[in-house]
Amino acid sequence: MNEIDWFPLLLSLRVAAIATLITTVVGVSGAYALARFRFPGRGLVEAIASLPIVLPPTVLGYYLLVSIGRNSPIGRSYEAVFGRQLVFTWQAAVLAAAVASLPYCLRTATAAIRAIDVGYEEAARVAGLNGTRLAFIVTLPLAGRGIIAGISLAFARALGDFGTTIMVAGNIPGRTQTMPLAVYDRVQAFDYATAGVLSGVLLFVAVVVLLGVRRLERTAL
Amino acid sequence: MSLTVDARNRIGEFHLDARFTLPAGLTVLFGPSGAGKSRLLRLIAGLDRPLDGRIALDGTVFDEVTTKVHLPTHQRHIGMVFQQPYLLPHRTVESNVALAVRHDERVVRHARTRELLAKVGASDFTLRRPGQLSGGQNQRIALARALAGNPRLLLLDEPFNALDLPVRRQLRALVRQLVDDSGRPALFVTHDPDELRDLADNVLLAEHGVIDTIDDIAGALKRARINSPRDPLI
Amino acid sequence: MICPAACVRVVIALASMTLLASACGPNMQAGAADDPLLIAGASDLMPAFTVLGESFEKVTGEKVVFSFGSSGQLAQQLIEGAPMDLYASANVSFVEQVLAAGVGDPNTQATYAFGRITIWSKDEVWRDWENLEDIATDDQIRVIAMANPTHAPYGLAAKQAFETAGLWKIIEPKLVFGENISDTLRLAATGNADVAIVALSLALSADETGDGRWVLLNEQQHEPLQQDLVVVAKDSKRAALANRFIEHVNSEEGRQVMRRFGFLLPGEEPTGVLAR
Repeated sequence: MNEIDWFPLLLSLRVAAIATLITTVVGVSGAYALARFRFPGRGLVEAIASLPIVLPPTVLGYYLLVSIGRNSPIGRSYEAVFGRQLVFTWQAAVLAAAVASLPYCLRTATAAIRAIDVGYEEAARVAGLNGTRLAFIVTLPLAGRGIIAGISLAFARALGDFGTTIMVAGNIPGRTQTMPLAVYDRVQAFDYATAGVLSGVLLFVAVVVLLGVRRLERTAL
Repeated sequence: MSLTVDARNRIGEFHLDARFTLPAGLTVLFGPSGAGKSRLLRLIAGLDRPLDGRIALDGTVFDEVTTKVHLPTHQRHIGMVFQQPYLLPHRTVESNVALAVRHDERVVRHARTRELLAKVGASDFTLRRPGQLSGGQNQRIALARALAGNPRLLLLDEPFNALDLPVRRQLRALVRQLVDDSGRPALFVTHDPDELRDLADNVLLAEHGVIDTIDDIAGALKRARINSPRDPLI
Repeated sequence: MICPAACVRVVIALASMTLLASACGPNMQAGAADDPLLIAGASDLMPAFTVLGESFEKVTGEKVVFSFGSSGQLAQQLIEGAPMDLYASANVSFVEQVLAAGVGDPNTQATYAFGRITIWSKDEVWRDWENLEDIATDDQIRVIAMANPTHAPYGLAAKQAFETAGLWKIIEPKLVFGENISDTLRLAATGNADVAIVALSLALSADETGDGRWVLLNEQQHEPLQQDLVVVAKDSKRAALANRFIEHVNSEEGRQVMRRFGFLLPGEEPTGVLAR
């Protein structure tokens, strides 16, 4: 067994944390909009937002690659602004993880908000609350358990992403090789011992985070 | 100082047609279940919109279908108590009431909150959570919340339906007192004739979606007996 | 039913963890001149190039990092802008595809080896097969693994070999594709396939750990697995470093390593083991 390189672990934690932050903001506000507003094409939006779950990760990765690659409008604008390409960087890994994990947060949060007894919001409206005050004081806390569950699901998904990440960020050791990619890499090299250790660490981290979230849920009541 | 209602609404097969001017004092909206009483309250509160007609309070137009005016619920300055207290379980009793007090200064809000909680007899529970209290206690707090914003009108939709008889009597007396103190009109929905007798200054009758007759208590009870002889409560 | 105050605390905790993670952690400056040399290599090169990479580091003090995979997938990534410095394919056409897309320096395209393919299986499964006909007619073989012909040159060569022998239609129902030849070997090594058609270099590498039996296939049955490389680095310093690695591969020591793993070097005749 070779000496363990901890770069992939640190990278994975960073990528998953940032991706989950993005997913939380987009997912929770999206969930609120889907659950509480009626607008034309709402069903279509929900369906499209669920695509990353339905599509195989490599297909998702392929479409992402086409959308943000060097020949795409997004890719070119990014290069113009930042002076370097977006694909095959750790930022692309963040994007891949965020896109892949968004539906987990969005769907769970939407269901949680829809499940709230609308009477709470009606009583609050009569009492004078509206808009963002209503959302943050009444709706989101009432859906809190479900929303937190959605966020932790999204984090777990982001931490474990493989197919999408490898397509848009590549498997570049020391740059974009996240933990799942590193495990794959070691397996490809027939180094099963190191692969086992890395997998074990990844599993351990995921379990610790998910247990921590559950504790947070309980103490927050 | 009165509420004028001239509105129609339709939910599925059910047609609601309400025409009245609410007198001062406590008016009981009386009628059998399914007569449309709750739906009327929802229209007045702005939680549903009428298909046709006009609803106004003291010159402020709440709904006017012909000119497409609809004042959103949170701007109507009314108080409402529902069948369920609908207090926020993640906030304290004090916090729940304070949310409804419309004032910029926190100090003022909390003073008013404490004053209201004392009025409804809930001073002992200010820092508890609604989940830790009984149904009757929670409805007291819901009453306090309904009054917190200095409402121009108080709506009560069968608020004591789910409570035991002794608690109902206590809370009835409380409502009577609060309405008298506030000097504002109140509309109290019930199908319980005891509540009708104890509370009503005036009676508004609801029958198969038609709400329009302002009557006195005796007259109301007589009509109710004629129209629903099978109702065991009468 | 979460208390909003706790909610705010959670958000602040998450946000600060994120910022912390972004701030410290590994240095992420991409494309710095002192980054290790990045080599995209076909899967069949893994055993040989890993050894060469280590010796290169010892000799020059420069770090080398590899990304192994099927040549087709690597070519795709390079065309999409993967920041590699050297591309060593298992054939010629993928190198030409990359060059045609405007990536890489055409002057550096060169053939560095010729590959051979074998039939491989685990010790306990082996039954003295000598050629593809034996595989096709053995009823006890239910699953045959080979690399995906569309993006793995060794897979394509395997398919050509079957077709030349007129066996493709017969064995096609038993086929399972690996994404690259490492995958393919693993299918047989884990018992999920009975036999695998893999590169000689991988079979020899497996020999070194004592696993499996294999037999070399007649190279007349498929188009030559001519393996070309090309320098794709954009930075001139990194291109120079890539060229140093190429020299290392072509050095006497490098050629010995390549031979050891069963590659035929340009201009040489086949020698050595034909089966194990």
